[in-house]
Amino acid sequence: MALGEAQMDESRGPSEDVEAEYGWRYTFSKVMEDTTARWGLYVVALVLLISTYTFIDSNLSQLTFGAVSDFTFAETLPIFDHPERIPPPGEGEENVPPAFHADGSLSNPLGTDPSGRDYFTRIVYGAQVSVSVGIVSTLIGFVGGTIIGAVSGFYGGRVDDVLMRMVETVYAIPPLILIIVFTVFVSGGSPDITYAILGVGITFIPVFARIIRSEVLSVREMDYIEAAKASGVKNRNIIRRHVIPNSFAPVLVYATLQIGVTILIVAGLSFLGYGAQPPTPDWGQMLNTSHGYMHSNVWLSIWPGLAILVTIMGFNLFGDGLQDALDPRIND
Amino acid sequence: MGLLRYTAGRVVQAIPVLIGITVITFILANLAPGDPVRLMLQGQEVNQEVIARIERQYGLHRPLHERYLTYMGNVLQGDLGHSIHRDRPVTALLAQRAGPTLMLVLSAYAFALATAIPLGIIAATRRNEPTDHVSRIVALIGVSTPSFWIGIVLILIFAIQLGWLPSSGLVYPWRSPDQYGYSGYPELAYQTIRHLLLPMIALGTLQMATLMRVERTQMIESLQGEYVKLARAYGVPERTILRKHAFQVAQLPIITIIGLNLSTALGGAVLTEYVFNINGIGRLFLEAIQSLDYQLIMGITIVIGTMFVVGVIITDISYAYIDPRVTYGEHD
Repeated sequence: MALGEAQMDESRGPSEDVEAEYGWRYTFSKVMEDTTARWGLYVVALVLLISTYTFIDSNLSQLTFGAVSDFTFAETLPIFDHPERIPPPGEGEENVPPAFHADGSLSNPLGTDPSGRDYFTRIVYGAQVSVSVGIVSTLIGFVGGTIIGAVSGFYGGRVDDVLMRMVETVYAIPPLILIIVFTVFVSGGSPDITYAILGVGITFIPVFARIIRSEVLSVREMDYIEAAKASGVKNRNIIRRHVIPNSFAPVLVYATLQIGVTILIVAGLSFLGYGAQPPTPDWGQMLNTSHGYMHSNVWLSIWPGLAILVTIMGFNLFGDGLQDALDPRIND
Repeated sequence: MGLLRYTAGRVVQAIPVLIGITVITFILANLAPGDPVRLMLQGQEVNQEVIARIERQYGLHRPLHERYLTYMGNVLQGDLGHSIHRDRPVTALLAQRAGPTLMLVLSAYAFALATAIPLGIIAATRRNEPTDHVSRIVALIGVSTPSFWIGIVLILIFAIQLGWLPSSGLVYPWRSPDQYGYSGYPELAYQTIRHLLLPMIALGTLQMATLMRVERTQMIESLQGEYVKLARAYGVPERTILRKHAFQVAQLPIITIIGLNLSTALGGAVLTEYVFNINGIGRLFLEAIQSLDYQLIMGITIVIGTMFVVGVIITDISYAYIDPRVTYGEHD
């Protein structure tokens, strides 16, 4: 939500005169009227809150104590353990089942993983990785795509042809495959979540470029662009001041939906071992580890998947609601 | 005649994209930091002589553009290079593994179409009724769940808990039953289906969900068309309207989506093949990445990119063939 608002404020300028009917406040109230979209927003807000909390928590402990492995504030709460602490042999019990199981206990609500770490804490801390990956790489794609798409659509002609052929090329290789090749080769054989974020972001530049381009193509024909041109405004300024702000709404919706897609892809990357590396708590990476324990502890494979599902569903519901609110054509 | 020219035009348009795919893969694979030969050998200690020999064998001592041109020359002759680790031609390896992947992807599409179209129509005709809501929720979950996790859950339920279906591998119907020790062709067919069922659902769910959403919106739009109103006014029975008037028009966008989704499906095949231990191109890709097998990685990326481009061309042409309204002129 914080992200959405920041972007909304930027684009307020040009639409100020029609704000009463179509402004962002109006859009927001329309989203809140829609029950499913509202729930999507709640889920997104909750996940963002959790990830912000865990982010601050782990960074504060790093600053205060010099290392994450010493202490985190979450540990002062009885249900939290340390997400990265591997208990010494004998201390942490392996594969404790979740609390509702006959052998489970409330001290490990979701049980423990094969290394004896509290699973609930790891799931909670996993939100941080997924959400930051989703948002950062969507932002990379968003910014890059907006620039390329706006330039391509505004100038048209040969520039457009060349850029669109490039876009189609990146489009043709399945994202997962392209990103794996990117992370492995660019990192020189030792993949890491940073390369995954970069890879996903760059791969999605074309997708955004395509959407903003088609918007720009229609905005380009507007009278106010003609007027700006006639009064001698530089092309670069026309793109920045008029074209981009007015082609914004559909891309914003798309970005919200894209965060879900990004989380999905990065989960896949981590599951295959090309995203977050152990011991970082990441949902995809946890599913990778639990893959080997499918016979002995079913629950290990269930919780991270559910966490992914709920998070992505939140972003999708919110994005859908936003789309409905911004596109009067779909409304009845 | 127009159609033939349109087809030729589409094929010509695809050439820059195909060249682009080879350029991207080539650059990614060759701009990796560090010495490619050392990466290939993965830290094995070898003397300078061996390294020089490998460099000469692969022409690594020559400048990048020269190597690219040689590589492209070979690709055009159908030679995708030679895998160092497997000591076999890349084309032979790909041919060997293509069958399972094609079987998986095609069956996933068949599953997606067979479920998405009826469900989409039902949702559209019973709009805002409970049936519609249920189908929308199913579609939403389908879009928000990682395909590999669906695979894991299916294995947990149907293979591990219930023991009904096998959890790994495929049975290939093109082999003789004796190779598997089956009694005859009926058992071969039965086992093929049994093995294919879970991976097919895992890979097909995302496709089903996206197709169902499109089908629903298209049917709603098409049912509101003037021709439907006219048919109703003439007293044409509702079933006939649905079957003859609304249905056909609504199917056109589905064809486009199928083509564009091919990229997601091929990427998803990597994950599905990993989860279900299927020896297809996806697993081959992961193995190639693991061993940093340059030639094999480039070969696979090029082949998969080409598969997507060909798929999109086929859907574009069939679209133009089916829909008389498409003009065979310039369009994006």
